[in-house]
Amino acid sequence: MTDLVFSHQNIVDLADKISSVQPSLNATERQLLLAIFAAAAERAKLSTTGGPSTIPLAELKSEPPGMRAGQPVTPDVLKQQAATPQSLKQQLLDAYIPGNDFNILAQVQNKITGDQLTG
Amino acid sequence: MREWRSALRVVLVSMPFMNPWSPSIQVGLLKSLAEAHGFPVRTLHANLDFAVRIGVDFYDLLCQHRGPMVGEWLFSLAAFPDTAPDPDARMVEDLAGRLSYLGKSPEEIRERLLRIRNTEVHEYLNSLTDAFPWGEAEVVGFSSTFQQNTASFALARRLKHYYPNVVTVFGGANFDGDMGPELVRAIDCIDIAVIGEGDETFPRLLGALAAGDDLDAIPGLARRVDGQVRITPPASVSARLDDHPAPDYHEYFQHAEDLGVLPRVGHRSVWLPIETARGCWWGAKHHCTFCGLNGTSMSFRSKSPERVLDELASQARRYRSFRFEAVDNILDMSYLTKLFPVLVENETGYEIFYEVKASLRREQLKLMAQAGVTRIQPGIESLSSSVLRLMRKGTRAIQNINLLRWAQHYGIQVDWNLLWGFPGETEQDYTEQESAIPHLLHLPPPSSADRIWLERFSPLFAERDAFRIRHLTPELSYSYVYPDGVDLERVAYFFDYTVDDCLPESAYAGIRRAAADWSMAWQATSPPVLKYWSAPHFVQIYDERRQGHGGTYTFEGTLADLYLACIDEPTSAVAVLRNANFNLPAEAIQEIFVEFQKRGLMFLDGQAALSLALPAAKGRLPRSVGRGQTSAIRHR
Repeated sequence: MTDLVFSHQNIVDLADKISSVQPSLNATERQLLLAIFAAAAERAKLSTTGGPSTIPLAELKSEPPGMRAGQPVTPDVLKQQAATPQSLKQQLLDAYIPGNDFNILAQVQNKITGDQLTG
Repeated sequence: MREWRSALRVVLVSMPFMNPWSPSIQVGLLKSLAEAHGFPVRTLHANLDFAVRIGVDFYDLLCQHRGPMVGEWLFSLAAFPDTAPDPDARMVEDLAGRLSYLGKSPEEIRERLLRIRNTEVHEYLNSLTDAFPWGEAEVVGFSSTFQQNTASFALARRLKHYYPNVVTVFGGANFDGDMGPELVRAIDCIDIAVIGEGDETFPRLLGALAAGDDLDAIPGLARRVDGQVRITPPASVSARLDDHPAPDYHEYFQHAEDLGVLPRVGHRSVWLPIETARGCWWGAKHHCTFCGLNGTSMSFRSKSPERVLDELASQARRYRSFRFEAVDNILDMSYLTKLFPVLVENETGYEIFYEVKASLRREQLKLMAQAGVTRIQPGIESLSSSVLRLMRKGTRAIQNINLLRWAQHYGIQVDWNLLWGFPGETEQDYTEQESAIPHLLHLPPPSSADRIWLERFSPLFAERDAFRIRHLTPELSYSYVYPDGVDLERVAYFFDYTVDDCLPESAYAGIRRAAADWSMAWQATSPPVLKYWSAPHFVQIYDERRQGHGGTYTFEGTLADLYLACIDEPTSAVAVLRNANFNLPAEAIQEIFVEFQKRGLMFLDGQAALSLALPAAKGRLPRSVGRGQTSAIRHR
């Protein structure tokens, strides 16, 4: 199973969203939700250095692309999968940047080769 | 029986304008077949002597060019000394516009052609008649395809003059169908013609000639009897190609090296003709409307993979070349699972050419490249699905483009044609192709782009009324070659024509220009490029299809995933959704495809989309080559 990478901020954001639905939950549902979170928390690998933590990703019946076994998944990707047609069109408009660095790279490579030959 | 057979000595001749760079498979195979039946056979590639005489490069130009029958015209005076229709060389003026490929100026072309026709042809025939021991032969056979007729007639005429007892036998594609009987009727230096496949008929004919038996018992022959042409019933086609011996090319190499056409070296780079299949499995079901190949022998037959492996190995050993040019009209698809995987596994060093159907997929092309297929000629013919439908090609434009992509990626050289002039096509068919071509510049351009030739045996010829083809006449240059007594309607292979409701020539100006630009772009030191790098949910596409205008597209997330979803093969928006959840409706995905198309990054064809960029990374090993399927077959 693939690990989901998350940060402290992801937890804060999620808690904010769940708190907004709390009034609509009854007591049993609130207890169930807490129990699920508690069980999940035991499987999380928390970073001790302030970096990202990980938790095993659940298998969904219909996985979006990029959430397949063997591929790392980040919240960024989840965000992109939810992109709207409008945002995708904007990305298309911004996609092209003219030019290349092939000549520069070729010069660097030649220099390295030259150094090796003369060295 | 062998003793009386060995008394019948046979010479098989290949005359101009057979290509000089490789042996004639027809002559090589007939020699092996006849010798297997006990007849001593010599072969003579007399085309080489003529190539050396007029200059091999100029000779090659005459062989390669498809247009007026210049080669046939050059020998027509020698073939028909008293009745040739153009003793004053009017053709050079009348068709000057179509002969410009032969020289720098009309004057230079005329001077050269007249020198060849009036002097060098006669010196060549004199030399050929004197230099070879024709008097020792009882039978002289001529194999004739495309422009080999008049040179063969010219030599046969001389041989019949000097050696009246020699029997001249003609065969080959130029004698198929109506053509053979009419040539036998009209040209008296032809004693016998083999009509259709000669593998069984020719040895039987030699046997009957040696024994003095009745030739009427042999199917597939035409000859004059009491001033009338007598035709025996058609011979059945060879069903088991595995029974054929390998062609014998020894005398070709000896002659070519003696003449200096080929260098005398240890390892040769000659493309050895090899036949692994005959007929056309597609044509047997849906005959492409313009194709006149396989006149009377369309049924598809192929050699077993084991036999092909044997023949590749034995011919490479005999002639010290590892290059093979399959003369097949279409690849046997079973070779993809039974032949090529073995070639991969055996790590042989062959380079192989095949004609293929354009529907080959990425994995198949990858396998073929691994197996040593370095050149293919796919039946692409058009980049418009509606034109492809009119020609009954059985493929779509998007498949053609995908074949060009993966052949290019896996290093397979592609030789293909762009054709137009089909009954029923519209101007839109051509404006769309013209618009698409600038997006395809990173793929190999067509070798030629022109109007179709109307060929005998093609559905356009055979069903001319249904296709509303009018004014069908033998291609104009035949009239400068054959005397009045020859019925050109029955002898010609190419025809001029008009079509009702056809497009004006101006409708093709745009695609003609676009194709020329495409070819020009590939003459540059750095051919056009459209390549991509990818990581999960991330694609960068470098686009320098116009030289000096390079730039990069960057796509992430959904856009990257959609682009990669259409990389391997044509895919529809619905199919993309079926394979992965994009949280977008199919209509939105189709809109994104259109956006990619506007940038020239995708080709759309009906509901199908195809990403056009090629992987930047080259030379990766294939993921699988079907190793599990090959255990039963090994190189013997």
